[in-house]
Amino acid sequence: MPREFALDDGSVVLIVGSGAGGGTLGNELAQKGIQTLILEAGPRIEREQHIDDERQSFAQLAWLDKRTTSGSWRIAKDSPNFPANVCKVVGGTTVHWGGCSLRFQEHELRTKDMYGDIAGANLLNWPLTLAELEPYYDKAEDKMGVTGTHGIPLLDADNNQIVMAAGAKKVGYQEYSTGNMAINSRPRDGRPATIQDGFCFQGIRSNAKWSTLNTEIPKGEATGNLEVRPQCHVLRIEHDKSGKVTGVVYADKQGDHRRQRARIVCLAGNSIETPRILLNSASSQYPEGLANSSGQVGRNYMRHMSGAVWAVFDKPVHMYRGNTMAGCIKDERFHRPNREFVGGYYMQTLHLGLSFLATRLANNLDLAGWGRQFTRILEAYEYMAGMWLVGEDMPQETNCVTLHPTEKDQFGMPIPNVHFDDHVNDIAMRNHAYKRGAMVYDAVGATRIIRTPPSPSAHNLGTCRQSARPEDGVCNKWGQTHNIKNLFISDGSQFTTSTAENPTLTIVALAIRQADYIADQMAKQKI
Amino acid sequence: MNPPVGFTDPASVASEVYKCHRLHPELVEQLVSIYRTMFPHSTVPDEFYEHVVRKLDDQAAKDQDLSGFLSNGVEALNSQTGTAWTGLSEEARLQALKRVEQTPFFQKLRSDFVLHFYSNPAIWPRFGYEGPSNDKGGYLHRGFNDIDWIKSQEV
Repeated sequence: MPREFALDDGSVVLIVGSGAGGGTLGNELAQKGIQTLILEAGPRIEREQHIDDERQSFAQLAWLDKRTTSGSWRIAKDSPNFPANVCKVVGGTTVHWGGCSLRFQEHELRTKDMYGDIAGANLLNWPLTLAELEPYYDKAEDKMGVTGTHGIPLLDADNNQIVMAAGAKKVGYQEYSTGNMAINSRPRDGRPATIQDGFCFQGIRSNAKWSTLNTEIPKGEATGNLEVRPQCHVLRIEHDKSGKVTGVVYADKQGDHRRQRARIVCLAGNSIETPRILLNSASSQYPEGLANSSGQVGRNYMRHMSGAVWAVFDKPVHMYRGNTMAGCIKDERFHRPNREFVGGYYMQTLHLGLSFLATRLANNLDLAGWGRQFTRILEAYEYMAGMWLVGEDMPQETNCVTLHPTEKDQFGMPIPNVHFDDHVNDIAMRNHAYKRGAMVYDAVGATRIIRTPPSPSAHNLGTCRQSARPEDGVCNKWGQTHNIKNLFISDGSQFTTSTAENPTLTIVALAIRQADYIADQMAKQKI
Repeated sequence: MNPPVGFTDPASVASEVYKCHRLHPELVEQLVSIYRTMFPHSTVPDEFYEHVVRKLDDQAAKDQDLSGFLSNGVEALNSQTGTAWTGLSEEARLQALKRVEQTPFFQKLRSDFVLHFYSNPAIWPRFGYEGPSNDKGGYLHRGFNDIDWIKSQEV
């Protein structure tokens, strides 16, 4: 039976957020017998209630609380109050994620050494090595059932991937497949094989995709050591005179403020909410916010180089049939010093339904978002293929999450502002990726290519980064904050650099690793 | 160049009884006509365009200013053409719309159309989009890999 902890139970490990980081950490701690409480801002929506409709699903799952934006990025104009496309439900953003599960490359953990000084970039080596991460990648891949690892067969290619793979072959790429996906290709771990439903971004109705909602959370609850408390929006963290954190204040479903005591607090609210809570917890002892002696809380916000390429063919494709992102070209992932940018990127299949495709194409780079040209493209919906471009972006100190000076949310908490400027490296990489993506489709006879710019960020990273030295970042290589021993960062906020890879696998690996560390430190009475 | 939009499933088209409550009938009529120029899908009947205008009408119930905003926009559009909208050629309508492309009026019409027209499940069969799939067993046995113009040796 799931536990219910008392508000004054100061023995619990309290986790804020139930996504890839928080949901995984919660289960891992519960499996070790540690009493664990997850506070989730959103409601619990079980998979049977998920909806095969883009707009209805979006309304059901997305984090829609108002945010503001600033900076020269296109999002500030196109989507000023919705900079990030993440979920506000139990399971967090793992409910709508695509499933791509890629390991970091060795060079990406040492970008300062590998890339040299890049003007405007706040590069830093991770305090971790790939060798330290590898055992945890193994555990994460096994837990998530990642195809192409642990003897798990790859998914079958859908129409969208068959087109992309044929183009990849023609242009001479070597490494392309349906990719490493946390979607069952065969029944595994009590969940069925994929039915190629085409609604990976709309939840987990078929139960084939790994999400913390259908795996970590029920498994953790079954131990009797885990409580997941939904619709609890954490406002601030409290601390005692010694500087250690003692618990949090949250607004419950009715909007009433509650104080939950805890032995340890772990933040996994995604890279906008995590720094927001730290900044909103400023006190006389910590006037700049908690864990912020470096001044790096909220800074180095990264969102991946991204963009999309759409192609029209003169024969049918039916891209929407099949898994949304089960297709991957890996050949451009490397750092190649002879290119006009540092770092690398991937091309991954992407399909959208008619509704979201229309919205995306209304804001493209190649033709007007209305008129005959526009409608002609949509009338060719059955004849289209699509790919997403995702690559490393540069950390910049000035790209940051801050508290809005005047606007507050429904609970009286300052809303977050997200400031972002593209780095010249991001722009050069995007232009390269657009050209290569178009080449892939041209090679198989595309009659028209349409490029679309980055949409609201699905990958939000780096605002509480790991660093070897306390003056360079917010937390150490365990995610433990440099300033406060019993305060942890447990989500993608801790990423020192973005790397090119989709972040979920690494967030899960770091959460498993962090659970080992927390259990060890608790046993030694160090925290 | 592109294939025409098929009338594959006329039975699925919702035959909604269409009525606007807040927007004047003449305004409704011209908005539908403007939309047909802005987003021409020649084989799609008016009722799907009216569906979008009705969404505007629904909004006008909550937003007191919207009705005036739309009629002012239409009036400004008409005054710059010098001829009644109904008397204009398709090309003249297009040019008139291009001249107001940057106005909040045009942008409001554009974004609401994109939002409401293509998300209407009744329109999907006309674009070849099959929509919800989980209750039909996904696309595993319904063509997820049925592409026939790329041969397996090409992949």
